[in-house]
Amino acid sequence: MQPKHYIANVVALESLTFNVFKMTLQLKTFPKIKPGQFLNIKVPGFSLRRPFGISHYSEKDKTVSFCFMLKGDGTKELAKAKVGDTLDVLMPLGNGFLQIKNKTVAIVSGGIGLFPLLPTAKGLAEAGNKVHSFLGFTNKDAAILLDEFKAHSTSTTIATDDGSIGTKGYVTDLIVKEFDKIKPDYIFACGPEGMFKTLKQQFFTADNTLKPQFAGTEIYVSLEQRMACGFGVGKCCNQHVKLESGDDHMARVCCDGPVFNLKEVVFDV
Amino acid sequence: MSKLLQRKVFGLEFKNPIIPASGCFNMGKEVDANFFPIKIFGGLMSKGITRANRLGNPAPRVAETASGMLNAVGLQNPGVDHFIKHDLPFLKKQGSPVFANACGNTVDDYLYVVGQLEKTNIDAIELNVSCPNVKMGLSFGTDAGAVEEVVSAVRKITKKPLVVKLTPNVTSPALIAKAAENAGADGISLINTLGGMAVDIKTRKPVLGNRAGGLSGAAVKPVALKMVHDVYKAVKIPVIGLGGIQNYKDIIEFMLVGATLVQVGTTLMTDPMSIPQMIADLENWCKENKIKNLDEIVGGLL
Ligand SMILES: Cc1cc2nc3c(=O)[nH]c(=O)nc-3n(C[C@H](O)[C@H](O)[C@H](O)COP(=O)(O)OP(=O)(O)OC[C@H]3O[C@@H](n4cnc5c(N)ncnc54)[C@H](O)[C@@H]3O)c2cc1C
Ligand SMILES: Cc1cc2nc3c(=O)[nH]c(=O)nc-3n(C[C@H](O)[C@H](O)[C@H](O)COP(=O)(O)O)c2cc1C
Repeated sequence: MQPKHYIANVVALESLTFNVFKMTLQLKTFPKIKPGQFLNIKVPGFSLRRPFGISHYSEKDKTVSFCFMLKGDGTKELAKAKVGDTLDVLMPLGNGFLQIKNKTVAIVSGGIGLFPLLPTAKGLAEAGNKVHSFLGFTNKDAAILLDEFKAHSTSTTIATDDGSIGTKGYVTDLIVKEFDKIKPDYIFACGPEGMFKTLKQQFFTADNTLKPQFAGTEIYVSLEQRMACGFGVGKCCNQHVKLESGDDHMARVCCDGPVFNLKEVVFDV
Repeated sequence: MSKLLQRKVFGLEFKNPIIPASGCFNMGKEVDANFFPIKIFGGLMSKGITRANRLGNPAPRVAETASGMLNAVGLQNPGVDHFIKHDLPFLKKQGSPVFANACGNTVDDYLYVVGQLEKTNIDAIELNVSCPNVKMGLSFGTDAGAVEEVVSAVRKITKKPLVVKLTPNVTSPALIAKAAENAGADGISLINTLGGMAVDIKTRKPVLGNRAGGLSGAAVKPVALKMVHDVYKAVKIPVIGLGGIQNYKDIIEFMLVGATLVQVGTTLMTDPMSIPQMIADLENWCKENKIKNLDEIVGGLL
C-alpha cells in the first residue's frame, strides 16, 4: 500500500497577489487525485498541519500545486519556504467533487474558494461537460487565475464587491439571475461560509426542499472547518448534516467531505 | 517479526508496547485504509464509547497551541451497540488485543456500556473516568470516592482486564490510582488531556466552540512523565503511560518511569507514519542496547 504521506520538494513559490501565493511541489511517486481533494501540509514549527485545496496537478510531471492566502502565523511561515526545501504532506485527502460527464455545470466561487474549483472545472471540461463559471472577488486586484478558468469554461462571469472588474455584486445573485439561461444540472461551489448560507436560502425553501424554479439541479459545496488530522480519526472538523433518510449526524469535513450536498448541510446558529 | 518488543500484560500478548490513544484513531479503519496496516500496533483502542449515540460539541473543536493542541470533541460516537455491531469485528480481526474506551455520566451508564461489552469477545476495558459525573458536576476522576464507586460497580460485572484511565486535572493522580486499585482495577492508564483554553484576540472569544477543552501533544509530556512515575510508585498493578509521545525515545522515557505499555494520540493524528518508524526505532534501540525484554527497563529510572 502507498501511504498517503509524501516528502515533497518545493519547486516553485510565486506570489499571485500581495497576500496569495502558489506553491508547487515535486513528488517521487504520484497518487491518483480527484478534483476537489485537498492536501494537509506540515509547516515547520507548528503542531497541526494546514489544509489547502489542490489547485493544479500533473500525473506526468508528478507535481501538485496549491494556492494559499496569508491568514495567520502558519501561512506566513509557509510563504517563507524556498525552492529546494522539503515539506511533509498528507494527500490526497477528502472526497472531491462528483465526476460527471456531458452535463451542464455552474461553478460558483467566492474569494479563495477558487482554488479547488480550478482542477474541478478542468476535469469537468475534459469529461465533456459545459462549464459556466461564476467567480466572485472583493476587487480587481484579488481577481486571479481568470485566464485559466476561462480556458475550461463555456462562459465566465465575474463579480466584485466594488465593481472594479465584472459586475458589482455577489456571485450568488448572478447564478440565480442566469439560472434559466444555463439550466445547470449541477452547481459546484466553494467560498466563505456566508456564501453557502446565502445559496441555501436562495435555492431552498424553509422546509429544505429545492424551490420549484430550480428543479432538476443539484448543489454541492466544498466546506472548510478547523481540523486536526485531515483523515477522519480525530472527529474534530464536524459538520452537521441531515440526510434524505432522516439520518441526522455530525459528519467530518475532512473525509466525509469537504464536498457535501447542500441540501443535506445544516447550518447551526 | 522479531519478538524483542513483545509484552505480556493482563494475560494478553502484545507484539510491542504501542497502542493508539482513544479518540485519536477513531475505530481504526481510516489509518488502516490510508497509511499502514493497523495490526502492527501492539494493541488497539476504540474511541470513547457511551451508552447512546452522541453528536458531540459545536465547532470549532480544535485549536493549535505551542507544541500541542486543544480539543473539545465531546465524545462524539455512535453508542456501544453500534460499536459492537459495526466496529468491533474489524478491530478483532487484526489479531492484537482490543480495548474499548468506556465512558459515562452516571454509574449506571458505565454499567450499561461495560455490560454490553462483556457479552462480546473484546479483550479489555479502559474505563475513561474523565467524563463529567452529572451527580457531582465534576469528572468522576477528580474524586477518589467517585472513582472507587464506579470501578467497584464495573468490577462486579466484568471478568475482562479493567484498566482505569485517569485525568491529570487533580492534585494527586497517585491517590486516585490507589482508589482504582483498591476497587479492583487491573491497570491504570494516564494521562487524559489537561484542561485548557485558547482565546481569539480579534473576536475576544474562546477559539473552541465548547469554550474550553483538553490539551495534548508534546507540550504535556513532562507533566505526564511525572504523573506516570508517581502512580507507578503508588500502585502494584501495571501502568500504561501516555501524553505527548512523538518518537521511540519518548516511549523509553515513559517505560523508565514505570510504564509497561504506552499509547500514542496526538502524534498519530498529526504524523501517522511515525508509528511504523517508532516500532522500528524501538527495536533497533533494544538491539543496540542489548535489551532482550522491555521489562528490563520498566521502572528502571535511577
Ligand atoms: C479543506 C480545506 C481546504 C482549504 N483550502 C484552502 C486553499 O486552497 N487556500 C487557502 O488559502 N486556504 C484554504 N483553506 C483554509 C486554510 O487551511 C487556512 O487559511 C489556514 O489553515 C490558516 O492557517 P494559519 O496558520 O495562517 O492561520 P491561523 O488562524 O493562525 O491558524 C490557526 C489554526 O486554525 C486553522 N484554521 C484557520 N483558518 C482556517 C480555515 N479557514 N479552515 C480550516 N482551518 C483553519 C489552522 O489550520 C490552524 O490549525 C482550506 C481549509 C480547508 C479545511
Ligand atoms: C481529538 C482527541 C480526542 C480524544 N478522545 C478521547 C476519548 O474519546 N476517550 C479518552 O479516554 N481520551 C480521549 N482523548 C485523550 C487521548 O486519548 C490522550 O489521553 C491524550 O490526548 C494525551 O495523549 P497524546 O498527547 O499522545 O495525545 C482524546 C484526545 C484527542 C486529541
